[in-house]
Amino acid sequence: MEKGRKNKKSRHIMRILKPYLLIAPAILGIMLFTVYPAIKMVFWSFYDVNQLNPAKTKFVGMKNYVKIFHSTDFVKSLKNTGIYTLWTVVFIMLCAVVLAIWLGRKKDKFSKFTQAAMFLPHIISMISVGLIFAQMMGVNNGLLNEILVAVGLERCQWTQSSSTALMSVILVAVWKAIGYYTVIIMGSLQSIPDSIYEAAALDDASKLTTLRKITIPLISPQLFFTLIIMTIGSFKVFETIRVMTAGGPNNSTNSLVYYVYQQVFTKYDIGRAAAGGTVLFIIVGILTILYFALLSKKVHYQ
Amino acid sequence: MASIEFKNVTKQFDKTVVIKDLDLKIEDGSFTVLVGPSGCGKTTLLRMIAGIGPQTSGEVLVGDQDVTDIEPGKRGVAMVFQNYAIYPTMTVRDNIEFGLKNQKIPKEERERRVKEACEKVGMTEYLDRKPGTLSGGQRQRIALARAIVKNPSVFLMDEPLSNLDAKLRVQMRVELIELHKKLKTTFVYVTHDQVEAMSMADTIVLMNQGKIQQMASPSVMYKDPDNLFTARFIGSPAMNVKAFEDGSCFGFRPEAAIMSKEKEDGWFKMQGTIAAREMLGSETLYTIRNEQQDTFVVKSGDDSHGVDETVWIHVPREKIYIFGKDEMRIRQQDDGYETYMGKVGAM
Amino acid sequence: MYKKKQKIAGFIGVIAKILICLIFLFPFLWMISISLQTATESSRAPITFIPASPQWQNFVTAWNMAPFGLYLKNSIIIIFSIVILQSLVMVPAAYAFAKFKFKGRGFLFGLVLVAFMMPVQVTFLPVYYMMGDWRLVNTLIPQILPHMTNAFGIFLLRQYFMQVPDELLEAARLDNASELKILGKIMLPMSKPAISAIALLSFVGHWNDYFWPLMMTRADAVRPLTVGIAALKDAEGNNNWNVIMAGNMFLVMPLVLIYIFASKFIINSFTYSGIK
Repeated sequence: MEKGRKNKKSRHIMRILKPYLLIAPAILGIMLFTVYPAIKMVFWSFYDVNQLNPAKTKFVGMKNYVKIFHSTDFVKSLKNTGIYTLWTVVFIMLCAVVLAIWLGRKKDKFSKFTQAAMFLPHIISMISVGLIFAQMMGVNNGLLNEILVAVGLERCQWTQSSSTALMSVILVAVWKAIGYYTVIIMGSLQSIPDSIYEAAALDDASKLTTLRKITIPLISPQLFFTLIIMTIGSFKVFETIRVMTAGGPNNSTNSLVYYVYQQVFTKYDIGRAAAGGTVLFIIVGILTILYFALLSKKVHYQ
Repeated sequence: MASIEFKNVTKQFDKTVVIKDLDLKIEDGSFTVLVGPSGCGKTTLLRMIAGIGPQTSGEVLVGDQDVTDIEPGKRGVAMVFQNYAIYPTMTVRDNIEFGLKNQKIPKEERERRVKEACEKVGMTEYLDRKPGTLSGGQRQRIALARAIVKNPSVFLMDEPLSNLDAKLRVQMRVELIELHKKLKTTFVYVTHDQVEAMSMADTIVLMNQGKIQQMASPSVMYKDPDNLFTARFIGSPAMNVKAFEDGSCFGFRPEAAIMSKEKEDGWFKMQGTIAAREMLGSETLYTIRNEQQDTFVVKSGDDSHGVDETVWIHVPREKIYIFGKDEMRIRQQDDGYETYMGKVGAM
Repeated sequence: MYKKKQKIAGFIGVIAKILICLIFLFPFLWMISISLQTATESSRAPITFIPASPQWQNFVTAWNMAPFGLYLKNSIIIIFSIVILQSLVMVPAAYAFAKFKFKGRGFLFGLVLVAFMMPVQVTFLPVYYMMGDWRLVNTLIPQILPHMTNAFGIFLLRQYFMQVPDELLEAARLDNASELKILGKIMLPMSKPAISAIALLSFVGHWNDYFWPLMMTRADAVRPLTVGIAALKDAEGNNNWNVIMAGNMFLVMPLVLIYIFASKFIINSFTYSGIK
């Protein structure tokens, strides 16, 4: 009897514990490799970190932040990241919406092939894409300049000049991502029922009116989410800069993440790197909160 | 084979009490149907027996043993679900065998039992098919075979026929009654359909708002209801009810009334106009409205009356039921029966 | 008139599609072309489209310039370890989040979303030092273990699991199935599309990943392909594009080949997980 009761109790405890045991590894991974490091990074941003001799690590308050916001490198990298994000997002969005609307309802083989071709760059590494474009953007022997010359234009300096380098990096990012976002937007277009278009046709709406009054408003919630995801992604730009420009010339393509990378690997200044990382953290955090706020609102509508 | 007993059982979902201090005994070998409107707690009771929705407090006994802390799979019960709950990725054979495999029953015995179960439901030739290719009725049979194969001491069924079309439902009803005869185990069957309850059960448990309204055989349920709720729930069309000024009421079944053009003999007499007429085949349903806008439904073998016709209806004294202010039945031997009967006769 | 208009529109459409295909496919053809050119061909001005004679030995040269065999082996070990480890962690977690009620579920699921949105650029540095403390820097573990929780995968799989009717699980419990069996015999077989999509995304993501391995590795012995190929460019500068592109082919071609055979599956995997 005593044993029976004990069994009963342990079974009861087991039943309560079961879900916690199932999620334990996942939560452990998150705590260890996401939450703890993020807190540590923020923590370090208030310290003068000495990795070789941890005893010499000392609290410096906001000094790291003051330093980086007074350094032209950091301010420049922040500004570049902003410009980069703005242009990539605008370009990708415009191209993807236009392409998605154009290709969206076409079911023929050639359209499908075009779609697949556009999507291909998305699954190729940024490193590889960066290398291919670095070659194509060669000033004297690059493919792109040959084309420009062939159609009677001047050679472009691409990544060699501080006035065109950032634009070159933006171009690569746009080229890589257009196909993916086109397909995503096509997905939301397909969720609009045909009957709405048929009703609009019976109401004698022109193609432009249908687009303006029906298509765009119906997909705009999804466009907003896509926009935020794109923005978050753009703020993390690193690979193209690493293989195409190394932040140059003259810091004209230095980005937030590349700045952090430089602080760690060439300046060995962990405190500043941590402050830079925290700035990225804050930006992404704000965008994430915005994303979920919109999401909960959208769920609320339905 | 086992009886089932609920002792002082309470079930709470978050803060809402669905069932409070319920006692119920289901006899060994019976075909008991739990019936009631949706949300009355009938499925909750069934899930308690299965152990997939344990009670908040109280005891559930299966074959005199408290099963509260026994896992669902070890209670010796089998269940057939409303949408069959067939494992979609397994073949028919794997579906039926799954429970036996989990019990580590040797292969030969497994095969023999699967074969037997399939023969009982007539699904032998479908053993190697995937459920996706089968019709609703066939899935229902697999679900039955999956339950049969386990030789359970209790069979639980949660509205198993509600997803079938009308014709198949009638056919499956007969098959389930025969199955119960063959297996001789306890069947507990949940439905919201009183016709299903009446046609299949040997004992009906009628529930409303977590409480048992009446537990009796179908004929007692119909002929001798304990309260107004039972009287109105069982039988189709429902019992005609007219209230007295004091809140108590009397009623009679649509088939108990006799209809004619002229006034005749009868304890309760009323004149009214036929507002609607539904031809059912051998019988006809008339909806009759009098000057006070009381509406009664009469089921009659005579289809010669038409809409807007003025008719008399008459109900014999022994076919009239009286219910008190608390909606409980007032029977012949109870106080006030004669008074109320007098009132009916004087109308 | 109407018909003529349509014909012209169709013609413009075809031209536009050809142009788009060229824009997105030509750079890859260009990479192949360069990888087969001689050093002179690839660096002189007018550019060469089709190499005079394909220089297959470029691949051998590239392969021998750095320990690419080792890089490839590392990449493969890392990816398979990640995909297996992630599955082991993700499946039970998604199951619990989808099918159990427990105190703190909302908060804990919030943690998963935080992990999903957290950029690795914020976390890499403390993780690297942590790996140093654990004396694991010269192993492949820093490139595997930190990826153990695939937050996005948990999120996606949970959605999928939630669609499995509860009755199926109840039926299985009545059939005396253990939780492990319920997962293995019912939940997982029903979620094959989701699992294969998540595995594919993880595979492609980690095959292409550059930032994390770059931050976690200080020695050749543990580097994956991406880092090795970027280093090739560092070593060659803007010379010998033919060899760099030959190296690049090692990284690009496996994915392109898979894409040729399974483009529909790949596009669907990437998009149905997409943002809703």
